[in-house]
Amino acid sequence: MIRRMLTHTAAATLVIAVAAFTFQALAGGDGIARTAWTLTAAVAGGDHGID
Amino acid sequence: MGSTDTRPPVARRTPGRLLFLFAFHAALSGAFIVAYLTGDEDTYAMHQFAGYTALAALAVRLLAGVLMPVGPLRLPRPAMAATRDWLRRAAMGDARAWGQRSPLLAWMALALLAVVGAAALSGAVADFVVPMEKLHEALGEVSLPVVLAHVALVAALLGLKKAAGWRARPTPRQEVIAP
Repeated sequence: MIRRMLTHTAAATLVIAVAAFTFQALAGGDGIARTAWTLTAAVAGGDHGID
Repeated sequence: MGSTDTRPPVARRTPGRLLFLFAFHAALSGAFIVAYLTGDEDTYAMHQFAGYTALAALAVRLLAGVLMPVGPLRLPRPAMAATRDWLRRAAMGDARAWGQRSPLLAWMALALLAVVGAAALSGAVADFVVPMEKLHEALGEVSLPVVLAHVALVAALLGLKKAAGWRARPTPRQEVIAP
């Protein structure tokens, strides 16, 4: 049961991450490339994005 | 043909209800992970999306708990006496206590619902009331240790359960060979 929960969590994390990424890229008007850059910087611990 | 059974009705653990619990756990944990990793100013829209997803998952879970107060969907109701009793038996090495569902899980579920719920709710309020941002940040930082404690508790209880299983395994009989 724990393995099943972990699999579901990983899948949900991926789906929510993709949906959130799309939301920022399209609705936020940032574009896919800029969003990918800022996300990489944020997750890697960078202080600033493309600016 | 009148029934004499006066026991209160108990909602069964159906596959649909279990699937709901799995979906809730997946949605909340997934949204929490994404929201925590995107707390940066540059990824604010992603953070908002994940935060509102977590809030929606919590709202649906609370609604299900209120509508179905009996059975697997009921909200966690930890009991101090049962917890004390389980801790005492587990500390004494009672293999049955090690193998059964621990009352500590209800405490942990309540703590998670409270802390993650407060973090998600304060985030939504902070969208309109800017001074709430500091409180939201603090609650977000507090929620990570609680989530990690939840993972540690589940791993520890799984270890206890396995140990109980090993203990219950029958020891191989000594073969008596006739002289």
